[in-house]
Amino acid sequence: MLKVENLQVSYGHREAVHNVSLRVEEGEIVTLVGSNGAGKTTTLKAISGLLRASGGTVSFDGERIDRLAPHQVIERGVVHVPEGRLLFPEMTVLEHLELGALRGRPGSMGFAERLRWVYDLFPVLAERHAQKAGTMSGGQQQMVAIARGLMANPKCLMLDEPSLGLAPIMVDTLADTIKSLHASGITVLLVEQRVDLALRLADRAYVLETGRVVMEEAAHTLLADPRIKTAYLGL
Amino acid sequence: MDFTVFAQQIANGLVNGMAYVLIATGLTLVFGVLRIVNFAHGEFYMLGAYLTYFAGTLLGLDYITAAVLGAVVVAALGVVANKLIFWPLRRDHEFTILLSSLGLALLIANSGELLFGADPKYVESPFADEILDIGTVTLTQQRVLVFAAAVAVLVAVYLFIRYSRFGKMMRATAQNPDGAALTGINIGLVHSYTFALACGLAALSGALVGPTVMIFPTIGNWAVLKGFIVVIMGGLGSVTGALFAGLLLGVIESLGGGYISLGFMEAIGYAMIIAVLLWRPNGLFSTARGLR
Amino acid sequence: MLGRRDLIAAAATLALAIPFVGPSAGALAQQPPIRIALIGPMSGTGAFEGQLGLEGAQAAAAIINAKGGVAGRKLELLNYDDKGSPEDGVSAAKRAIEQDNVDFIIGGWFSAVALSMKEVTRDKIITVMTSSQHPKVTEEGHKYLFRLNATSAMMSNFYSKAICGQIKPKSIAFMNVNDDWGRLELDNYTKLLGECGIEIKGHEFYNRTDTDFTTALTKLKALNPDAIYVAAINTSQGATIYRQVRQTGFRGKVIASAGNMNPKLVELSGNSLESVYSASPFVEDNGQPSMKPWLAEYRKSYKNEPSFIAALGAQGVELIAAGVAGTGGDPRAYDKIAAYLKANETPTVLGNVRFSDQGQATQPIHLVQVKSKQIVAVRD
Ligand SMILES: Nc1ncnc2c1ncn2[C@@H]1O[C@H](COP(=O)(O)OP(=O)(O)OP(=O)(O)O)[C@@H](O)[C@H]1O
Ligand SMILES: [Mg+2]
Repeated sequence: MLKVENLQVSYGHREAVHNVSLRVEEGEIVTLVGSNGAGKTTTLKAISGLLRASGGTVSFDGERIDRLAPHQVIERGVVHVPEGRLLFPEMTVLEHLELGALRGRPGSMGFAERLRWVYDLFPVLAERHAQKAGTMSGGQQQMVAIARGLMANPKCLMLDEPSLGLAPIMVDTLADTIKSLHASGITVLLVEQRVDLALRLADRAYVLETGRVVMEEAAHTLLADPRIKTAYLGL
Repeated sequence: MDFTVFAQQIANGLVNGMAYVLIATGLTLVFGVLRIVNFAHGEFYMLGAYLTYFAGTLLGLDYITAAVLGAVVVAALGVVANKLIFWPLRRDHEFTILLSSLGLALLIANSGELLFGADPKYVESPFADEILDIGTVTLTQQRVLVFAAAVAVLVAVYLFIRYSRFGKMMRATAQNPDGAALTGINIGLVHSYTFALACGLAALSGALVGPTVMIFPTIGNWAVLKGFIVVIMGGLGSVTGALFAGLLLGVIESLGGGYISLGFMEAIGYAMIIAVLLWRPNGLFSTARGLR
Repeated sequence: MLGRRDLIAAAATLALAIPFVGPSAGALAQQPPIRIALIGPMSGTGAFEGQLGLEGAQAAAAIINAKGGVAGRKLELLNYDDKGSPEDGVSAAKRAIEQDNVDFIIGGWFSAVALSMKEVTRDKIITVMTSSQHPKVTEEGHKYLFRLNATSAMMSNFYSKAICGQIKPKSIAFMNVNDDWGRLELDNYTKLLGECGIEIKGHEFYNRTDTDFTTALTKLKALNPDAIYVAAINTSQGATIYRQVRQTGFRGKVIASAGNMNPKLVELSGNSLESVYSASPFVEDNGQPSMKPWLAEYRKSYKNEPSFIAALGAQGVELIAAGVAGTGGDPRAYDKIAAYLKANETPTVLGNVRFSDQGQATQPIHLVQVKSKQIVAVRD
């Protein structure tokens, strides 16, 4: 469904991602793991159109999307929930959700229905719909970020370090949320520092090191192989 | 202290201040949303005044229609300027953008001199010389119009930014451009319309203030200077900050000129900037960055 | 490339070839023209004034040339841009003398330019300075230099008498620009008007960069003077002040500084300038024989209204023509021409002009008033 081939991305003259190829099939959870600075975020940004690739292709459902602007990528059904959340601190939760729905793919649900669905998923957001995002806790902000992404009715959801800054119980809740989203038919591309968590959720994994894919493997294989974990993932 | 004179000076100051607010609003919007310090803002003010003048003299339009037409045309020019200059440069260094806005200012001012001539012109308005006595205060209809139109426009802009869908897109872009893009906001469109709105507001100020003074191709310098003083005082990117700062500047100038010395009037603005930057670097009325 | 001279030569040949041109015209064309350099601000802040001066001079030259020129020779005007700057004025004068071999120079619209330029032309070529008012232009000895404009002392002498005798305000307040000239004006008129019993209510100084004057005018209006005197050279500031004087609700007399009333100001100020007084060497109905044809020629050729500045350009041309005609026709007989101009009154568009030994003109000055958007002389 999502296919990345020989992707190259540079910051100025420095190439951060070299010839990365990966694919995500419909209904999968795929995870992208690797140490700090490996190029995970850069890869996601190139897919979502925030960064322009200097080489290679990205296609989704057979259509090239690597020359599209972010809002056009969202219209195709690929939604990126970014690292650091990138919320609008002075805007309310509800405003985030309204904006999230702007480019939403038409689906079975209308705006009101989708809003109810998101509120069911994150009941605290319903309570706090009039609160400014900047005044919320880290966990709640992550919920706003995911909820904002869900309002666009994604086929493929890319989550970049959703557990960052969350309390341990919140991490478990997050894992449950991801599972239930997957169960509702959303394909997931997950980037996570917590490799254990990621590998438990995922079907397949790509290991990225200094901008290159060094391994592609079924998640449970990686999880079972302690040598690989120490060699590539520093665990 | 003579109360009549005092009231008159306050009224003069509020009118001038409201004109500053109108000029500063566009400047602060462009800074807030596009992150551009637009030195050419004053030139759009100048163009607004001149287009109103020519729409009146060449096309024979009445003042109000001419002013609206001027604002619309300048807004369209703003779209073009943004598309040709600022959008392609948006990922460049801040300094490059700053220099290119300065270049644009010079380009427009010099073309203005060639096209319009260097001699002063006067924008005719039926309200310019009609005097209104409000209690002991004497104002021309034009000055009342400057104040009233500015209030109406600012209220409209405020409501637009606060409640309209596009206004929310503008605020989101101002507060987190990458976040806005990943939310599905078409950043190019937001930049384009925001720049157009700012240029239209600048032009409208030019058309409104025009009949209270004389116009010549370099009046943009005055406008952008007042605009920057207000924007820095009110907090970069803050619309409500610009409102209070502009009125404050107008009244303080008027009282300072009236009760201390006229020679001092211009210095007041600079003194206020320095004081504000030392005491509250984010502006008098600002608590955080971003368009609110 | 086809230069200006080639064009004139071609025009002259053409004139010869046309059969009905009489013998005198044929003879005329063979004589080389008298070449006059007109050096003025053609760009920069003074560009509008420079343009007016050029137009005035061209109109005067056209009239003289239509009548057969001076002593059988046509007048040819060459235009130079001094950009209002002394350096450019000096280089233009050098170019005119050394490369273009001109016979006369008309220039010196700004005092600063006049003061530098006169050192290049000193005792070399007859130079007619136009609008500059600085006393040193003529004070410092230069045997071929003439200055047309009245000095500020001459102006204030005349104007204060007219204010006391004809306008007769009981009290007055001043609105002056804050520079050397504005402060000098305040001192002069406070003294001169005080002497004839007019009460001085107060004054305000505005800045040269100001665009809004309501604060100052509010203060002056509160003094409740019979008249407000406005000292403004800059046309744009002047027009704003005259409008705002009325817009603040002041209904008394308004007196504009001497020499600063012009059609552009009238155009910009609208009704606010109605019945405002000034003093000016320029009035259209002054009865001078050369005024009417000059006005007609000027209005026919240019879209601007005839003005004092334009008349100064015309006067410069008329003066040179009279000097050459009165001394036998040799444009390079500078000593004879200078002596002639200093010994005789020269009739010009603005009246008969006399020169002191230093070359300072004495011009008739008139009290003028704006009536129905026309600047007209006030007759007593
Ligand atoms: N805006 C930027 N400008 C320049 N270089 C950058 C920028 N962002 C990232 N990089 C560099 O690109 C490389 C890849 O960074 P990236 O953020 O994609 O890594 P990551 O795998 O997401 O790491 P982390 O686990 O820390 O989030 C790093 O070397 C980083 O320093
Ligand atoms: Mg990252």
